[in-house]
Amino acid sequence: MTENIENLRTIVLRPQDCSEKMKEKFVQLVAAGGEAEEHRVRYSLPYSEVLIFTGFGNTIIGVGALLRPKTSYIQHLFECAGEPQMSNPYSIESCWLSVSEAYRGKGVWRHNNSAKLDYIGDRPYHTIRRVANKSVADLSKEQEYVHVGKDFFSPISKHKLRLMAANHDPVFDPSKKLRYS
Amino acid sequence: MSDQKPDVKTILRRPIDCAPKLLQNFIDIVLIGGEVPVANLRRGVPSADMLFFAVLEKQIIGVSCLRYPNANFHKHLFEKAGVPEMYNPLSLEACWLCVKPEYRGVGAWSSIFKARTEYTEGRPTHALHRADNKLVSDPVKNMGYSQAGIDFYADTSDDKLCLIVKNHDPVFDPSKKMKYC
Repeated sequence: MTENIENLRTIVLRPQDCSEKMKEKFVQLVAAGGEAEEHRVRYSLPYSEVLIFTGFGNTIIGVGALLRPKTSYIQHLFECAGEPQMSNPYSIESCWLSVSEAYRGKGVWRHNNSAKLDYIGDRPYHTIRRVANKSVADLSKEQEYVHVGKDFFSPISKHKLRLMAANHDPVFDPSKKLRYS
Repeated sequence: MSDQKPDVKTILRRPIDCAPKLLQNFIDIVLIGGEVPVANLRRGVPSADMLFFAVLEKQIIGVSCLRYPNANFHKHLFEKAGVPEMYNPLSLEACWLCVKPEYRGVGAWSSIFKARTEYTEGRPTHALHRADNKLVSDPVKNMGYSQAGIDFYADTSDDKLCLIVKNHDPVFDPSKKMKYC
């Protein structure tokens, strides 16, 4: 398969639909990215809603995930950012994005992100980024997000963090839920 | 003697929000039913959409679950029942219902069922039961479920099985999605 952006393919799979080999490749790629510890990824992977794989043919070169984190963890993030009223238990976390080093800058991330957005639709979601990681903490590159509150430090990381959210109401509306239509 | 049934309440928890002890309690109660291998539970519980715990006087007396099954298995069920066009990848499987024997008949089942119905609202759901299990088949048909296709044998069981569905279109409509509203 030619390694051309035109031949990139992204698939969105629930963890229960992934082979052990795919899950292992997912963990290895995320760990190689250096933003998440391997044992944490292994622990949380079964709890993720979907895993997103981008590649050429059978070669996986980029991954991402959508996770519905612990409700208390979501609350913690929005409290730290100073906007607790925006905390939404239905919010999914976009996380574990990693592209194999040899393929960075070739549109893999964009391909992966596009499939993610298509899957999410109008559902609320959020992500946290290290403020110092300029390449991913720049909101102008991902205009779907708003910067929630202020950057903060939290016990979950030694780095200053930025919370970004999309499709969140300014104040959580408890009458809303996931509906099939 | 009063005819009034005890006040059974059902609480809903996503697996990621459960303490390990609560997850183990869930598994232990399902194992009492003797219908599910422990390995399936250990693998499947973390990726469940929602766990239901029927509680009476601070004791967990029954459990159930909603989950997205493995897509191939899910399709296989509808093919075996002779209605492949009804297969809906967004249909949640209601499964792993078990009430501790000493608490059967106190209202745990109906409490779980009510909570499950409120949670799923118009979302498509399905369930599988042994065709000769009249204890299950008659009540669920009064609760809005209907049989999909015909009874069948599958590789996963020695028993003849019955597939029941709720909020399923006769033919899956791919334009429908989960929306947050």
